[in-house]
Amino acid sequence: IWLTIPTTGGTKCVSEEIQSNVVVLADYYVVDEHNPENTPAVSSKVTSPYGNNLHHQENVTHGQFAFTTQEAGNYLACFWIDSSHHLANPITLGVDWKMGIAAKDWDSVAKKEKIEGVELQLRRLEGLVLSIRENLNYIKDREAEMREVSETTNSRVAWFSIMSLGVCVVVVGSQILYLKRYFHKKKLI
Amino acid sequence: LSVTVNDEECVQEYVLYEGDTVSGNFVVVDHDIFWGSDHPGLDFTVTSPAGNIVQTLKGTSGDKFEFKAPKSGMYKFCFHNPYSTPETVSFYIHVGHIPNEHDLAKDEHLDPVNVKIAELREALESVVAEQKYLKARDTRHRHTNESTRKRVIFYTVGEYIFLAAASGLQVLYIRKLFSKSVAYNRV
Repeated sequence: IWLTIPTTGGTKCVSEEIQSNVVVLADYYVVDEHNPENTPAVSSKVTSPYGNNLHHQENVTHGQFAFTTQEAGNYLACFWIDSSHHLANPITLGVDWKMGIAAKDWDSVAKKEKIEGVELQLRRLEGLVLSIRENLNYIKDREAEMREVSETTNSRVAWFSIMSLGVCVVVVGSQILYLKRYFHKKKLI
Repeated sequence: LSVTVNDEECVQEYVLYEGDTVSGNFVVVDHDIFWGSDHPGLDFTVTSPAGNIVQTLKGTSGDKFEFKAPKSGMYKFCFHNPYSTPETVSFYIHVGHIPNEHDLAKDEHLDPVNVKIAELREALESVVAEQKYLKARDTRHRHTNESTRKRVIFYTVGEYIFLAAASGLQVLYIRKLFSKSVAYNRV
């Protein structure tokens, strides 16, 4: 995927919601059609959901980062042009972001297990199917969790509205009692 | 991947072969609209390398798309946000290539089994894309729920403060009313 980074102090950020224990592998490179000899450099920074710095690189034309996620949540990758450069055109950045099964290095698997051709292809498909299954289980778990939360919220809101009504009635009653006593004391009624 | 769309945001993807199937989906995850759910959504356009518009979707909060690439090259996918509030959009684009008979004739290494495998792979990829779409929808759902929760809490606190203030004022007001001119009220 190619992104465009604006020239004047702009930062382009992409994020991805990832569960824990997933391998993430990403390559990025500057693509500049306007002046191929002098490609401008970019800086990049990747942060985890809890704000840990996973990757930081300044003034590069291409780079790579890889990590295994520790926490589930939103991982944010930001790219920007250093302010010292003055460019006429916005630059294009190619990002190749792979996750989970897509990040697996099949060439090394092929070499290690001495399989090739159709068998390797089938192996890849098997990996893909397994990852789909895993994902499905994850979605199912999430759904169950969400339903539970929704149901408790529902009952809480029900109880809360009854309680709210009760408080209202009590306040009204105590007000009437108080005022009655007050007027009796003042001999008004 | 997700990007924040302020005004217009474009991503590009290279299609290697003519006739490849480009499929994908996008969901507006973070819709910070205060009243009502009738957000106009984003406009989505796909531009071919020649500059023709291949596909447009107007004012959607999330949709799927699929088209056959008329030629190879750089395809441009643009999200346009007609409103000033920034929106976060989660998108997934996949370029699928299935070798056809024409490629088979050219390359003797390619046999029908490989074609079948490629077809199978594309079918699986579509399942993956569907899952990503579901996940994005789920994220959107969570955002809505969290916003509801916040609103309920604020509403509750506000209601209680209002109730306490109203009952206090009532008591004060009635006391004042009666204690000022006792003789008049006795009638």
